[in-house]
Amino acid sequence: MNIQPAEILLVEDNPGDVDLTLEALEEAKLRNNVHVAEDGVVAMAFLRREEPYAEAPRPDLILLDLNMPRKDGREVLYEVKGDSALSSIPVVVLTTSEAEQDVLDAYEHRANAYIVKPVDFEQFFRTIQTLEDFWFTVVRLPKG
Amino acid sequence: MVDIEAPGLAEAVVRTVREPLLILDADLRVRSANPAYYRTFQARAEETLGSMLFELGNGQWDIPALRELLEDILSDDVTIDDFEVDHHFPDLGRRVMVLNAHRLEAEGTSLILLAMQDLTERTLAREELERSNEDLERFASVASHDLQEPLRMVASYTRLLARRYEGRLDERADRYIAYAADGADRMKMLIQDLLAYSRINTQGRDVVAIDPTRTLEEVLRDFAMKIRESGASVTYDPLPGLRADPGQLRQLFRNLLENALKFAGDGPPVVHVSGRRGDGWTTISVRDEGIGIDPEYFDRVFVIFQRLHGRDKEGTGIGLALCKRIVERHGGRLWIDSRPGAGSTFSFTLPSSEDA
Repeated sequence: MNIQPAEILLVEDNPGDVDLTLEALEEAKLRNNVHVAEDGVVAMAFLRREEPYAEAPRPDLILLDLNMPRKDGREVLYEVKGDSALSSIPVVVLTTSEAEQDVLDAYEHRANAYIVKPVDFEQFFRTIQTLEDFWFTVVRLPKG
Repeated sequence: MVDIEAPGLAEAVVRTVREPLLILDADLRVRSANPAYYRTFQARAEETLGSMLFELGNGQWDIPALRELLEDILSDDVTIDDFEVDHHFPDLGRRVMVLNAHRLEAEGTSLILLAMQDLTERTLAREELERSNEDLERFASVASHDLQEPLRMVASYTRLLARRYEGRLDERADRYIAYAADGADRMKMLIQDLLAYSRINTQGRDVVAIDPTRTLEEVLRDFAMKIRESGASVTYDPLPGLRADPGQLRQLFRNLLENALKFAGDGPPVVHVSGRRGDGWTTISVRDEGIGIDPEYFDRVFVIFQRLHGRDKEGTGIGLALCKRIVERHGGRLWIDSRPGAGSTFSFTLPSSEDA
C-alpha cells in the first residue's frame, strides 16, 4: 500500500464536474491530492512545471475532459503522449462525448482509457472510485 | 371492339384525357395536343401545332435523355414507361413529370402518343413532408441530447445534496430535496425515452433474420428481478422466425413486457407470449391478465406522451409510441385487444424470415 497520497491532475473546465469529481474522490478509499486545471493551457503548464507551477508534483494519473476552451483535451493528450518525460503518465479521458470519432482518436493517441461520464449520479461516483482503485491498486506502472 | 385504326380515334382519346397529351409525327412535330396540355403549359395552339417538340416553350423539352428515347421509339418500336422528368422549365419553374410514350401506326405513318403526367404538386408535398419529418427528428434528437448535460448537473447535485445533508437540515428541507431529486429523475427518463424515440429511424440498424425466442429470453433475463419480486408468471411458446433490427426487437419486447407487468392489477402479473406465422408475416402477441383498457382509449395509448394513468404508475408515456414506431419502421402493424378487467393482448407483425 502506498504511503504517499496519489497525485491526480483533473483537467476539467466545468466547475460542476470538478466538484462532483472531487466529492467522489473524497469518498474514495485511497488518500489522494487532486490538482485542478481548468483548461489545456493550465494543464500543460502544470505538467511542465512552468510558473506558477514550479513546485508541482508529477501526477500519477491525469483525468482529462475533451471539450475545453483555449486548449482542448485532444491537444493535451497529443502533447503528453508525444513528450517522453510525460508519456508514461496514465491518461484517462473523462468526457460527455459519445462520438465514435473521439473514442477512436483518443485510443489512437495512446489514451489509457476512455470513459463517458455517466449521467446517473450513483454511477458517476462508482465510476470515479473504481477508476482510482484500478489505477492505484490493480495496475502496475513504470516507476517515476 | 373498337377499331384501333379508326380515323380520328386517337384524336378523340387525346382530347378526353385529363393528363397533357401530345401526338407527334415521325419528325417529332406536334400533330395534335389536348386541352390539358394547353392548360398545363400555358401554350397556344398556333405556336404548338406543327412545331418540333424540342422547340416548344423555348426548348423546354429539349432534354437529351428524352430525345434519345423518342428516337428509339421510332426506330425500334419500344415504349417509354414512366420516364421521370424532374426539370426546371424556364416559364413554369420546377416540374416533376412522368412521361409515357407509345408508337401508333395510323394513316399510313408512324405517330407517337406522348402522355405527360404532372406529379409536381404531389412530389413537392411529399418532399416537404419528408423534410419536416427529418427536421422534427433532428430537433428531438438534438434537444434531448443537449438537455442531458444540464440535467446531469441538476440531477447529480440534488442527489449529492441528499447524500450530504439529509437529516442535517430540517424535515422540510429533506422533503424539498426529495421533490427536486424526484423531478430530475423523471425528467431524465423522459429525455432518455425521447432520445430513443427520435433515434428509431435515424439510428436504426439493418434488418436481419432473428430467432425472436432468443431475443425474448434475453429480455426476460433483464426482467428476472422484477418478475421474482412481483411473483409474476411469464410464459412463452417457441416463436416463429422473423426479420428485424435486433436492438429494436429487444426494445419492443422490453416495452411490451414492462407494460404487461405494470398494469397487472391486484394479483401477481400473468403474462404469456405467443406467435404464429402466415402470409409472409410473423405475428407475436403479448397477453396479460391485467386491468385491461377500454376500447375507447385504444388509439390514445399509442400516442406519444399520452398516459391513461396518474402518477401512481411510473412511466413517461413514450413506451407504446416507441413500439408503434419500431413496428412501422419494419412495415408491420401493432394493435391491441382488450376489455377492462379482462386483460390486454398487444400484437405486432414483422416480416417472417424464410427459414425456421
